Amino acid sequence: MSSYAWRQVGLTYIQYSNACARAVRNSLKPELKVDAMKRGNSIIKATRWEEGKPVQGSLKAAKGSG
Amino acid sequence: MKDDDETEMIIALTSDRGLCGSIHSSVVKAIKARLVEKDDAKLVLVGDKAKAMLQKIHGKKVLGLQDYTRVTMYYNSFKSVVAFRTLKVPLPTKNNMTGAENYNLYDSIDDEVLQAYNEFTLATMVYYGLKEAQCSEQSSRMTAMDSASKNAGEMIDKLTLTFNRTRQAVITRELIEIISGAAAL
Repeated sequence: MSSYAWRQVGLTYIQYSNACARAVRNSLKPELKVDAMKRGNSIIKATRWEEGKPVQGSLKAAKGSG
Repeated sequence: MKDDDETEMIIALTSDRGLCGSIHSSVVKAIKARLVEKDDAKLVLVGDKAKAMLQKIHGKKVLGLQDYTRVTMYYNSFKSVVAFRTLKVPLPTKNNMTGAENYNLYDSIDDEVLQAYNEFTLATMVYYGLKEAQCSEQSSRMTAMDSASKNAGEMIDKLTLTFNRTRQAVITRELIEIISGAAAL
């Protein structure tokens, strides 16, 4: 199997999986959608360090999947 | 491969909140012990507590991005409400997997699949570590706060007794002085 399309575009498997999950959640019926959308959110703050000090621009201050 | 040739990345799983007994310090202690053995390991710190404890001395080691031959995650594993163990678990890297003993049992594995599986396993293992760490921290906080309350209660009781005794001694002394003064007249 040659390289996956998503790999060639530069996504990792995790990003690909999250994108698929988002698509599935989007296609749910409205009653079930509300609960499912909450599962997709994540709050993570990552900071890159350079020479022992944290650099101000964080790697990914992401709220929401991905 | 000699130990010197290996590049190692250490992941520390802690959280931001304190008042949980020795949860954070035991993870940091295990990591410091490992850093004595292997001084050039790189660190990924999850949680403010790990950052606070490690940044002074080992700040230079916090991660830059590169390929590692060995990745180890240090976390607290939940044993029971009153006990937790600080464990380290190796996370799979591509080298580890292709070199594993049972690798030949599986067919239709190519580089693509392996890479995808590697990423998935990494995310899953970190999630597992976070869950265990959260659980251990919760129970440790419960027991720590419980014993803190108990100790505070005991201290209050002891001090109340001392206070009452002292108060009564003072009153008694004053009475004696008054009475002997009156008797002297």
